[in-house]
Amino acid sequence: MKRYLIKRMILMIPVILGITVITFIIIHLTPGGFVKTNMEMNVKVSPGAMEHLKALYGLDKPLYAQYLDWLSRLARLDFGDSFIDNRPVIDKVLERLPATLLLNITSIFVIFILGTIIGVTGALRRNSVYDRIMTFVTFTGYSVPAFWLALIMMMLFAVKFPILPVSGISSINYEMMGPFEKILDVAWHMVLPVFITAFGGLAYISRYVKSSMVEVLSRQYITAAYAKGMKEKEIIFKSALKNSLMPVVTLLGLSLPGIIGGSFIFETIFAWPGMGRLAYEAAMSFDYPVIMGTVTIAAALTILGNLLADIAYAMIDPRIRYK
Amino acid sequence: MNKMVLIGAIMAGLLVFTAVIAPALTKYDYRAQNLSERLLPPGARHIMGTDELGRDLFSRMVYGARVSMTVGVIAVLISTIIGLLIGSIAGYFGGIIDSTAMRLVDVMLTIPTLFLILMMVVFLGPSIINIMIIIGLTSWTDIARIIRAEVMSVKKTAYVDAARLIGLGRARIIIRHILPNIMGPVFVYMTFGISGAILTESGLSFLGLGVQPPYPSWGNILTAGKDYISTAWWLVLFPGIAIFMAVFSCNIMGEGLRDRFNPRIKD
Amino acid sequence: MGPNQAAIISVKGLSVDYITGPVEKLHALRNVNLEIAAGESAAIVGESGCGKTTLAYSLLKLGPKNSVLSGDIVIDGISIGAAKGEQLRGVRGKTAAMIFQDPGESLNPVFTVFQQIKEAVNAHMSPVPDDGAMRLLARGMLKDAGLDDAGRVLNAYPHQLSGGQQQRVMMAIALSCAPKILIADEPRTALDVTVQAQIIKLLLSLKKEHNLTLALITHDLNVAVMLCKRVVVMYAGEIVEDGMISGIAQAAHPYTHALFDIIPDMRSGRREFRAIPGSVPDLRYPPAGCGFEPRCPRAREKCKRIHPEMEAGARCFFPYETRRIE
Repeated sequence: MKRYLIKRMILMIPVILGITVITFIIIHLTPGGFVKTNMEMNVKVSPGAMEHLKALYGLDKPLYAQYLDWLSRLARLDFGDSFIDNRPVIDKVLERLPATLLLNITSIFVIFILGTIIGVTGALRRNSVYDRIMTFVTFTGYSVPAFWLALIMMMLFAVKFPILPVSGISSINYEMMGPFEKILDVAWHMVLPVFITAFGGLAYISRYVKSSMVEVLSRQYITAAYAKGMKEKEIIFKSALKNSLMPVVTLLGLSLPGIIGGSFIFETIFAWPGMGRLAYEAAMSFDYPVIMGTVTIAAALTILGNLLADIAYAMIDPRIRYK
Repeated sequence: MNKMVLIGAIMAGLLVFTAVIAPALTKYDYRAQNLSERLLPPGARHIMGTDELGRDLFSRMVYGARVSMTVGVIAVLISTIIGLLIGSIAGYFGGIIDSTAMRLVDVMLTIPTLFLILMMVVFLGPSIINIMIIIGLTSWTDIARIIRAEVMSVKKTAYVDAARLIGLGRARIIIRHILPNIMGPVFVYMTFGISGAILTESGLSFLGLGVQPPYPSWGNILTAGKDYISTAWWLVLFPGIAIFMAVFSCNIMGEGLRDRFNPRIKD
Repeated sequence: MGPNQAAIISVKGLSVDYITGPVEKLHALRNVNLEIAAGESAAIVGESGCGKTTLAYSLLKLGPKNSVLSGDIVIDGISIGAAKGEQLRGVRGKTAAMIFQDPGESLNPVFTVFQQIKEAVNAHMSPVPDDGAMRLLARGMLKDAGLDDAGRVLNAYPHQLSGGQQQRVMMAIALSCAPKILIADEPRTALDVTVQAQIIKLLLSLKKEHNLTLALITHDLNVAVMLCKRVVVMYAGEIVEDGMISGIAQAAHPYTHALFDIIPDMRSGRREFRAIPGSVPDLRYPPAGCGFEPRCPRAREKCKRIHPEMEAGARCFFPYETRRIE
């Protein structure tokens, strides 16, 4: 297992370097150089920030030196300061991170649980009316524009039947609540955003679980389990399920960038104080350091998520654990 | 499964047809403002109602179909060409070229695509051309991977060896013998790619970074309408349904085709 | 089988169809009649696609979902066709156990050997023994199956074992509930020659020790005659010969002859693979006459038109003379 994980980590190094190269290229993509563009576009830039920016990207140095500089700053998590309020980017990102993680991890969890249930039951009753309906429903979720659905939902639950909160992470009187009430309040605010994220992501996982389950159920060790006289429930929910769910762990890791990427649309719609909304606000006000910071951190989160998925996979699959 | 392809193809075909004959379908100019007819609900004069500037929504939707679907198709063509090039080169030559290409794919898969697109749109500006190029540039990885795998497996089969023995050049081997074999899976990913690109454009529009007015796209019609959602529901409902139909038809077509071309997933 | 011996496996008029399309059926088994007495060993032989594995799976109703069974199967007094739920479960593993072609494929890759023995025992034992007792039990079973380092094997996952060890584990699991019948489906194809020999030896000794009724499914006549006095030959979904056969001299059906002919001769060192020329008929469209007719050296005009019935142990109009000891 150690060798497997070490190999995985070594493979990550070029990926990380690649991400830094791409973000670096994009900075330099702007016609006329981005500090200049920035000066023209953003009047709010203070002279101090300007100087800092020039120093940060070392625009007078040769390109490779600039890149190495950028790299060494990244290693120290120094993304510079925001143009808007001159606060360090890393601070701004870190204070938004928990809300994003909360939303995304909850959504992934919900997708995993529901996707597994739909996939497994679909595999057991393949081509039944139930299976067809579920396929249609998940496929609809996959095809519907999420922000549109969010608008409709907000319309329904805020205007027509005001039962669910549609904006923010907590109520106005949050500070005055007891600890248990606080948790409940945040959970209540998460219902709609999580529902919409999960609805969109369900098709991917449930379809995979279904085909994986169908494949496992046709394997000889399942026939052998029946031949042993085991109970069908035990065969399906123990022998087959563990085998068919293992690859899903990796899949969850792979679906991370999509979910994080989608989060700035959700976060903007639901006024969720997360990183996605920060990135959007930064983009709209041409706050380059914050844009670069959020992209790099989002990519880093994805890498971390993939690594965690790899570790989890290695731990549950004995073929990798004992190698 | 062919039923799915058929339904998808009919839906998509209808949408494309509408877009193509757009001028014949509309009584009104999609740009014509009529402030005395602002925010009219759907009725006999305006079958989909009018928007906040009194423009006929149906006309805007029909022309929006042109823009949205063009963005989808061109973006996918760009990503297909990139994916074909990178995938076939990586698969055919193998070795360092292959592993470099695959690391690049890893990088692209790791950066949340929408973040990357957002960033590039902000830096380069949201023109239609830029949006198509940017979506194309960021969504070639699936195609590259499938092409690479297919090229590698086709490369092993005997007739490519035979072609090499005859003395055909490498480029000719790829083009003449390998590419025809991989058009099936490529087509599958193209249909999924079109739906993805249409969704991405509408998402960008929603953030104000998609196709910019005065060009109507389903995304920017919807975005403009969202401020009137509580009074003029039609401004949100119709473009949403149009996006959904386009995406859904491409997706079920892709799904049906995938089952045909990939017997492993067939169930 | 003598008339005074009770049949523990009794198959009457068994037909199995696989539904392969909206109107298309593959007739995998056609009107199979077979009785095997308690304690008897019978080998069921034939090329792949002849229906022998379908027959083995049908005995425990393990066929795929698209298969349709008709006819009677009675295992130790229980009618398998009608059995459901608990009753069927009671036969599987307890009355009749089964081992499969590929030991690596028939062990679940994500559970340890111990867990897999345990689930087999738990399926039939109540109250369920505690872990300590279970371990002791499992260790003994593995030892019986010829695994000396039972302690290590017990905690191992299938991929950590060699093919031979996996096969032994399969046998230990199969025998864990002291079944009366063992159905062995090609119990050695996936193994190399030396291990194959060991496994056959083990199978023989286990059969004696546990007084098992053995139904051995194999494509290899060599193994069949080595392990079993009685050989049942199948072709195109039918039994074409059934009798006490120990060599080509006792074979009446031309197909059985052909099977003997292709056995590689060990002594001459000639080990190349040989096959009977031609191929098995398409079972979606079973032939009107004898299924083997197109490949048969003794075929005549009649064989093409008329379907032969079993007569004196062979389904053939023009059988070879035999020196059979009945």
